[in-house]
Amino acid sequence: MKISFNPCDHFMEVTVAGRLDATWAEPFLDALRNILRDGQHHIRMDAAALEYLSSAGIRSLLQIHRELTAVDGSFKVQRAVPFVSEALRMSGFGQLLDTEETATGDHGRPLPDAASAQVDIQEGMAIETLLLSPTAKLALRRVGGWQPWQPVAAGCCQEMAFPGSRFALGIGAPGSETDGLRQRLGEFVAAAGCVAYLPGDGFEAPDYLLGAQQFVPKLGLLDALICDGEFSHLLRFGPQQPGACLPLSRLTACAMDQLQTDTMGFLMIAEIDGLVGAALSRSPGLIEADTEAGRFPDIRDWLTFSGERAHSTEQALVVGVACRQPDHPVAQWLPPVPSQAGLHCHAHAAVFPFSPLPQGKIDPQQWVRKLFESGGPKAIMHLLEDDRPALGLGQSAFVRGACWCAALDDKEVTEA
Amino acid sequence: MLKIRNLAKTFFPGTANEVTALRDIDLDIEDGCFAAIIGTNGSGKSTLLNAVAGAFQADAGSIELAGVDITGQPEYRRAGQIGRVFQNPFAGTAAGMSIAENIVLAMRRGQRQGLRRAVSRKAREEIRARVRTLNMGLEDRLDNPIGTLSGGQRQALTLLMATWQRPKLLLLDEHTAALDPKSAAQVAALTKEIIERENLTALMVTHSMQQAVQLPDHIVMMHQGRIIEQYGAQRKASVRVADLLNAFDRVRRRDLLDPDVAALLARQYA
Repeated sequence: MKISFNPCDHFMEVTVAGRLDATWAEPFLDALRNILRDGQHHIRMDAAALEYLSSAGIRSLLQIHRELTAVDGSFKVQRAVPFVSEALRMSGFGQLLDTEETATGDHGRPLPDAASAQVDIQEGMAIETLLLSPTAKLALRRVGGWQPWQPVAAGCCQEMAFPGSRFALGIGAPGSETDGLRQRLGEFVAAAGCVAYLPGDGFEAPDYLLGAQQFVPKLGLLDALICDGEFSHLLRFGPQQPGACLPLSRLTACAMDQLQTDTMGFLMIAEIDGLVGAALSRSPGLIEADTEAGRFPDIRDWLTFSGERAHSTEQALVVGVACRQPDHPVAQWLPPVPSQAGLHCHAHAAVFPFSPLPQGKIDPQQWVRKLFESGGPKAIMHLLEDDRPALGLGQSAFVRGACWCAALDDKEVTEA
Repeated sequence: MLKIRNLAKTFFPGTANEVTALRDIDLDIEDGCFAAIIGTNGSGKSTLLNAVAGAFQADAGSIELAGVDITGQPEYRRAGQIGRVFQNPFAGTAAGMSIAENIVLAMRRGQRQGLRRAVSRKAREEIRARVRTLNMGLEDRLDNPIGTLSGGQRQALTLLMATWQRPKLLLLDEHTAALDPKSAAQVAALTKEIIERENLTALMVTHSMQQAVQLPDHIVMMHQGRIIEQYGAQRKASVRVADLLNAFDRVRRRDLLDPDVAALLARQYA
């Protein structure tokens, strides 16, 4: 089988020649999945030179059709020879054929490009800004306020529920102090009624809670930043040049420019170029008065470091709060970003297997839940910038994705 | 029961090539327990096996087997109660001798050797019966030189020979690593079968996480000459290959957390 690709205005034309049978079905599917991963959600298959289509081949066509329609994309077979069109019709899958009867004329919405007024091109990345509720602002609450690496006082973990309208990051664990919460405290990310957390038991096996019907996930919080409210903007970004990616600091700077603010909260689902971060490997609830957990070498028992730009090509759910006004009260709660003078940002990421997102405006509730329903998080990290001379790994960066954000309402910034 | 206490070994002490291969090893392997040792290259897995076999004397610590302190025993004395299978399938057998002759040597291990017929009729029948249990059709080729067999067949026979006299301890040093995947799986399955059938106490070094999860009752994880993790009983029952790989990754990342990274993290968690 021979397969070739021809990018057209709003879709990808794939020309297939030869036999699409059991031998070639998987390689063919992989090739088309790569197109989908690259952000093209509309595929037209030119089957004029396709000589044979077996049931395995039909299965691969149906599979890619299913995956594309799940992200509002489309897949059609064009110019099929009689044998192929007959095989599809007889199998009951004639809807895949792009004939006069089935033609929709829908070749998808255009990819973001420089011609669009809302698109900003920066260092090979297209960043498209979409308005949601332009005047919306977020209330930010800091809970707990644990001082690393002090022993955790009894009763200082505050219980908090995470309904769909709330997103948060910090250190916490499910349960109460009477059932061992202190032994399990670790980083968490909460959004859309779902919570991913890393129990601080040293096994680095993330767990998660998924809200359903009457069940609203709850955590005992040692230290957390909690945002409530609506998002005002959605930033969609993707590469315009091969290999381009968007570092977290540039994304936050761009978002704050669009929001015309110096403080914001954000929620992002994005394909990972590389994550740099750390996580608690042991619950801070186990710190005792004479523990020197924050110092080398004891710190090795309490924290793990990614050690490399990790989880490339997987999907991240990132929750963060950023501030670029160093004297703002919020800045005191956030670690500094060394490469951007004045920028402070605290962000946690939960890592999931890659799954494509539809283009344009999408609902964070729906797509965050889909991530969790796809099998749960593989890792959870506190993102940081590694600015060590020569050896530094830099900061986390992303290839393409969606970032929902809104400015913080200064009147609604509180500490409990 | 194998009981190891505070075992330590440093090679080339006081030289530029000094290597501390074993540090404060404490390990208990119950009778009838099949344990696997896993670890990165240079973690001390094979050194630990060699220390138990008596290939060298440890600098410190003790090794007790079936209630007897064997720490000071030379290798040849331990060989009477410890069976060994090496990585190289050609290491444990004499290539020019027949299958039956090789096995007879294993049958008489630890016994006085005299001038008599090498393979008696009675011995041949016993050999045929036990070789048949390998399910490799070798029982009809007992007079063939063992050097004509494949690596997998030879390793299966070596395993049979090492367990012929039901050793108090069986040591397996990456005994499937040099075999092709199919033969490796066959020998691994055979290993488990023989150990269970004979209720042997066994210690196996392996680089295969799949084997470590599937074959033994107990997993010992080593790093830089130390035992850093053990998966026994309930923990072993739930462990998956991914868990072991993650554990190694944690160890690797812990090594990367040097004072500079510690300072970086301290700024983040401040």
